[in-house]
Amino acid sequence: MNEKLMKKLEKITADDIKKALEAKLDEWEDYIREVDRRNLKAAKLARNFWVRG
Amino acid sequence: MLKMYIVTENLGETFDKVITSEIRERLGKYLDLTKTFIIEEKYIDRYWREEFSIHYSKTFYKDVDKFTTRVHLIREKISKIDNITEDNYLGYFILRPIPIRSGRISRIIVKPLREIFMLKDNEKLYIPTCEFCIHIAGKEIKFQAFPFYQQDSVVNVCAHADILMVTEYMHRKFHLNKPSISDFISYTLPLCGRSIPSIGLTLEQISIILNQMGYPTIIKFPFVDVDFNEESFNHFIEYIDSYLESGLPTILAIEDHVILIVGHTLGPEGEKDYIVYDDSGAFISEIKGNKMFCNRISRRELKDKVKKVIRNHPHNVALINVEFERMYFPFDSVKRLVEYIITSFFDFMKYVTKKRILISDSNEFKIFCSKNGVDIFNDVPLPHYIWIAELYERKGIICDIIIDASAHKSDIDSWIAIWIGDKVIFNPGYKSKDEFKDCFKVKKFPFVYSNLNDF
Repeated sequence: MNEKLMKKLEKITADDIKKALEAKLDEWEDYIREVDRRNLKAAKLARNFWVRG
Repeated sequence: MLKMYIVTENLGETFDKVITSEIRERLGKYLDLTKTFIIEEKYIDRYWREEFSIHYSKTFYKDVDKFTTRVHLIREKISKIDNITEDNYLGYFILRPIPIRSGRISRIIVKPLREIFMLKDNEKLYIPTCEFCIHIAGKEIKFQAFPFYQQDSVVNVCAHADILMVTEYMHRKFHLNKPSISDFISYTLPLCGRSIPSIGLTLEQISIILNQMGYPTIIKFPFVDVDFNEESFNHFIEYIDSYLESGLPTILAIEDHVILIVGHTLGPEGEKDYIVYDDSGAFISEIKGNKMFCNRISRRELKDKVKKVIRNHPHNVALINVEFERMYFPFDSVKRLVEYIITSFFDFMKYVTKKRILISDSNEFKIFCSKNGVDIFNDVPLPHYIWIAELYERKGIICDIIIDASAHKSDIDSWIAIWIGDKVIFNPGYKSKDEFKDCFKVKKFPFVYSNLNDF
C-alpha cells in the first residue's frame, strides 16, 4: 500500500469515522428522500410496464 | 413402461429437420462440443407436468402427452450409456411434446464452459450456479449449472421463464421455496384479460408473484428522471454487478422483453462482459445475430442497446432483483455510505482504482476469515447478512467496509467494521461497551470474498 496513505490510515479511530459521517447527515437524509421518491415512481411505472417476450 | 435410451452421434437421425435446426440455434456451441447424444424418451419433467395439467391436457392435440424427451450431451464418443462419466457429461435439455417449433425446448441445464464464451487464457468466468443431479443407467451424476427455461408462449411467456430460472436457482442454492408454475398462475392478477393464454405480465405482476412465493423483490428504473451519461450508466452497471457478486442474478426488463443477467467475465485489467440468458432469443439475436440461449454481451453492446431504448422511452428499461429476507439496508444506501467514507474521510479517491460491493451471509464470511487466519470476527455478533464493500488500489485490495444489511435504510451509523490494511476498526455500536476496544491488528490485509464460482 502507498506509504503516505498507510501513515494516514494508521491514526484513524472509530470516533473519527463516526464524526465524519455525522457531518454528512443532512446531505444523507436528502439523498434517502430522493431514493424514496424514485422508488415510489418505480412502483407506479411497474404497473404499466408490460413484458410479453 | 420401459425407458428408451438412444445413443447417437447425430440428432437428425431421431428428430426432424425443423426440431434439429431449432436445437442447433438454441444450443449453439454446446452442440459443437457434443460428440454423443443420449436421447431419453418418456422422461417425466415436473414443469411440463404442470404445463400439461394447467393447459395442454385440455387441448385436442392427439400427440401431446404427459411425457417429455430428455437429451443428454456427452463430450466424448461413446457407444453405450455405461460410459457416461462426470467429466464427459455436459448436461441436458428437455423437449416438450408440443407442435410449435419455438416452444419445443423447455429446459437447458448445462455446465458453464469457458470455450462457450470464447475466453482467453487471462480471462475469468464467474457464474452463480447450483447443483443438479441426474440418474442414468444406474449412475448418479452431479454437476453445477445455472438453469435455463424457455417459454411455451401459452402458459408461460418470458417473464414466467425468468421467474422460474431465478427461483429454481435460489431454491437449489439457498434452499428458498420451490418454484411451481401453478403458483405463478394463481398469483397472477388478471389485470387485462385471461391468464392463459398469457398475454404477458407487468413488472408489478412479476413482483407480486415473486413476493407471494417468498422471494422479496425490488424494482428499479435507473434512467427515469436521470440523464443518460457515463455516470448514470455506471450506476446501472454497479447495481447489476453488486447483485451478481452477491450471487443474485438480475432480471433486465427492456422494451417488451425480459432477459436474465447471470454472470460475467473478468479481463486482466478488470474489464467485464456479461453472461446473459435469453429465453426467447429476441434480445440476443438483435445484438449477436444468433439465438443461442446464453451469450456473452460486452458492456459496450449493453450500453448501446440501453441507450437506443431509453432515447425515447426512459421508462422502458428496468431492473428486477430478488433479495434475501433480512436484506433491508438497500444498495443505494450502501453505495452512498461507502462514497462518504472514501471521499470525506479517507481521501481515497486518488488511490482507489476499483470498488466492489456485495452481500454475504455473515457466518460464511466468518468461516472464510477463520480459514484464512483471521478470527477477529468470531466473537462479534453479526446480522444474518452483511454488505461488504471492497476497495482496491492498483496493487490490490486495501480496505473492506462491512455494513449491517439489516439496518434501517437511513441509518448512517450502520457500518460494523472497517478493515484497512492490517487493522480492523469496529463501530462501538456493534460491540458491547465493557469489552470494547475499537481497533485490532490482524496482521493480514482484507481478503477478496466471492459468492460466485470461477470457471
